Amino acid sequence: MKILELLVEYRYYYIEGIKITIMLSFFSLIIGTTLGGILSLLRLSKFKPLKAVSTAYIELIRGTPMMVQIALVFFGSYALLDLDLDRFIAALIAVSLNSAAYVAEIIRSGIQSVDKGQWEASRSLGLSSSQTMRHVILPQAVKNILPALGNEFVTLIKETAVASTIGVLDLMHASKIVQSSSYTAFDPLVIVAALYFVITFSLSKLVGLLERRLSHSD
Amino acid sequence: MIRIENLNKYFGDKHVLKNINLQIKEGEVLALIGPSGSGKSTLIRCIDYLEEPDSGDIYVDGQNIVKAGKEIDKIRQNIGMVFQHFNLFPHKTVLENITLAPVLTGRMTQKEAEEKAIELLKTMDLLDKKDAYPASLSGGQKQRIAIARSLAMEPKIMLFDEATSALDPEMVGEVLKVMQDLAKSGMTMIVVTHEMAFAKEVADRVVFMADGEIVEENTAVELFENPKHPRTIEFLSKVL
Repeated sequence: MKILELLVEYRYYYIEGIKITIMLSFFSLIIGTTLGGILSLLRLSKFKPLKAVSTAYIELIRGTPMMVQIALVFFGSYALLDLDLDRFIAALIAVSLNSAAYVAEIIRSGIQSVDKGQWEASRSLGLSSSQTMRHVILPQAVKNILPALGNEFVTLIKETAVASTIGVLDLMHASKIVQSSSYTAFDPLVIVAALYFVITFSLSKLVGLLERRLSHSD
Repeated sequence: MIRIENLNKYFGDKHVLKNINLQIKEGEVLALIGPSGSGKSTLIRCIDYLEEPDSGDIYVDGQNIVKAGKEIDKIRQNIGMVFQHFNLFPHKTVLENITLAPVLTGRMTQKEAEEKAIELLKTMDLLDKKDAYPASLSGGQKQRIAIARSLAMEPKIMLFDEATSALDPEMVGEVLKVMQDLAKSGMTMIVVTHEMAFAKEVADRVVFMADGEIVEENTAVELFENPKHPRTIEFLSKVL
C-alpha cells in the first residue's frame, strides 16, 4: 500500500504539519471569535460611526480572498511597516481577522434572533443592558448560532491551508514536501485530504455534542 | 404614586398618545380599557419606560422617569411588568427565572432569593414546577410564573399589559385569580385588559381610552353602569 508507506515514511512532516495547522486553527478561532463578538456589538450599536466602521470592515473582509489577505498581511507588514513578521504570526493575524468578520455576522444574526420581549422582560425587572446581554440574550443567541458557528470553525480549519502559500509549515505544506520528495503527485493529496477530514470531523462532532448539551431546555 | 403629565407619543407620523394626564394613588387598582390601537398598551409601556415618550413627564414615586437617565434601572426594580406573551427566559428553570433579577440587582442573596421564590411558587400552587423549563409549562402556568418573577423583586407597582389575552380560555381564570389576590393585598396596579367582568369587580377606577386619548374615567361601577361619553357607550355595548 503506497499511501501507508508514505504516511509512515514521512510521518515526521505530517505530525509537525498537523501541530501547526491545529495551533493556527485553535488560536485563530479564539482570537477571531473574540474580535467577532466585539465587531457584532459594534455593528448593533446605535452610535453610527462605530456601526459604519464595523460594517465596512465586515464587507471588505468577506469580499476579498483569504489568499490575498494573508499575502497582504505578510508582505504588507514588511513593505509598509518595515516589520519582519514571523510567517506563522502573519498567518495567525490574517486568519483571525478573516474569521472575525464571519463570526461577527453569525453572532449579530444570533442576537437579533432572540425575541425582543426577552430584552424587555429583563430590563423591566431592573437589570442593566449589560446584565441583560450577558444573562438573557447571549446564552439564547449562542444556542441559536451554534450550528452556524460550528460550520464557520470547520471552514476556518480548511482555510488555514492557504497559510502554506506564504511558507508556513502547516499540514498542506507538509503534503507539498512529501509530493516533491517522493516524486508522487496523487497519493499525498489523498493523505492530506483524509487528515484534514479527521480534524474537521472531530470538531463537528464536538460542536454537535455541545448542541445537545444546550438543548436540555427545549 | 404615579403622575402622568401631558404625555405625547408618536410612532412615525401616528400620534398614538395625545396629551395624557393621569394619576394613580398608592394601593389603587386602575383598569385601562378601550378598543385595539387606542394606545392603552403604549401608555402602560411608557410607565416602565419600554417606550420613550416624545414629550411630557411621568413621575413614579416622585421621580421623573423621563429624565432618569441611568437611574431608570433602579426605578424599574420597583415596577413589575407582566406581558401578554409572558417572556419567561426559556434557557432558565422556573426557579432561576424568579431568582435571576433579585440576585443580580443585589437585592437578595442567592439563598434569600430562593426562599422568596419558593414562597411565591407555593402561593401560586406551582412549587412542583420549580425545576422545570418554561417550554414544558401551559400558558396559564407560564403567566403565573411571570407574575411570581415580577413579585420576587418586591415592587411597589405592578403593570399588567393584557396579561390574559394570549391564554386559552380555560386558563384565563387561574391568572385572573392571582391578579385579584394581588389587588386584595393592597398592591398598586395598572391593568390593561379586555376582561370587563374582571375590571368591574377588581378595579377601583376604570379609564376608557380611544384614539390615543382618555375619553372617560370613573369608578368601576359608575363607568360600567352609567357611561357618559358616546364613545364609551358604543364600546361597552359591543363588549358587554
